[in-house]
Amino acid sequence: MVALKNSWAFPLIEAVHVAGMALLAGAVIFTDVRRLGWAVAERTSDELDRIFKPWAHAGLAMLLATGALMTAADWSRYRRNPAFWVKLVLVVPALGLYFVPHKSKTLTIASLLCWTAVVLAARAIADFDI
Amino acid sequence: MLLSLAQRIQATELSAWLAGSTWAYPLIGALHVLGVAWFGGGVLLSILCRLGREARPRAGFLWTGAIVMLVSGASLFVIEPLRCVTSDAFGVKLLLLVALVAAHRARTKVRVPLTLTLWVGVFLAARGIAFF
Repeated sequence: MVALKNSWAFPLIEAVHVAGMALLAGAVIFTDVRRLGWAVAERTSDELDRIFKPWAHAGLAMLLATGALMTAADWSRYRRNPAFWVKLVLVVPALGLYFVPHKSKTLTIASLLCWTAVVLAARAIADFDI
Repeated sequence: MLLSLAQRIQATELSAWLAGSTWAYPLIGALHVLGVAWFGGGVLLSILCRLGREARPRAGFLWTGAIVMLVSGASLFVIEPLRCVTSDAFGVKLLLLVALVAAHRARTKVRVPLTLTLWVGVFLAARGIAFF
């Protein structure tokens, strides 16, 4: 990764990761907030879910591919980074709630909280290099 | 001119207070990314899915995300204005943002590919600020 430090390759990979995050987390936030009954769109949350699915999945593929690439390229850094491990642990329930259809208010709020926490922890990776 | 403005912002108490705080930068940075997921995600999805009027996110929902993004973005600038204005990537990001707003308002056939390209360009330049 040192060799990539001064090239656009690393920000490019990060930009694809951010775009994937916007697609997946954007779809989750939008759909879950609608599911909670807030009138953020005319369509029902199930309809939004169905409309967003192909793009949210594309976003997930972008996230996994670039995420794996960054982790593999700089493993010695990530394995000592607490924010990275928090993110990794939070991603499991977040993805679980994304793939398991949930209608209850509790699970919807849990999904929103998990994804928010994943994004916060992800950003914090840059701040917790020790 | 931009440089002297940045110097003046850097000299303010607010800037010094935010820059001296351990948690301000990580928290505001995280809020900024959340705003990007909320607003950017909503806009990208409505472009990509070509949502009909009834499925498009209500303006209030989108603009709340936009406000989170803009206020946190401005705060990040206040924390380190000198580093921002001396960063090539920051200048590129601002130019792309202006182009993006113009492209969203334009009524041309290439609006969709143009805005999508500009969004990805903004993400790229934004990440580039950490490097260039």
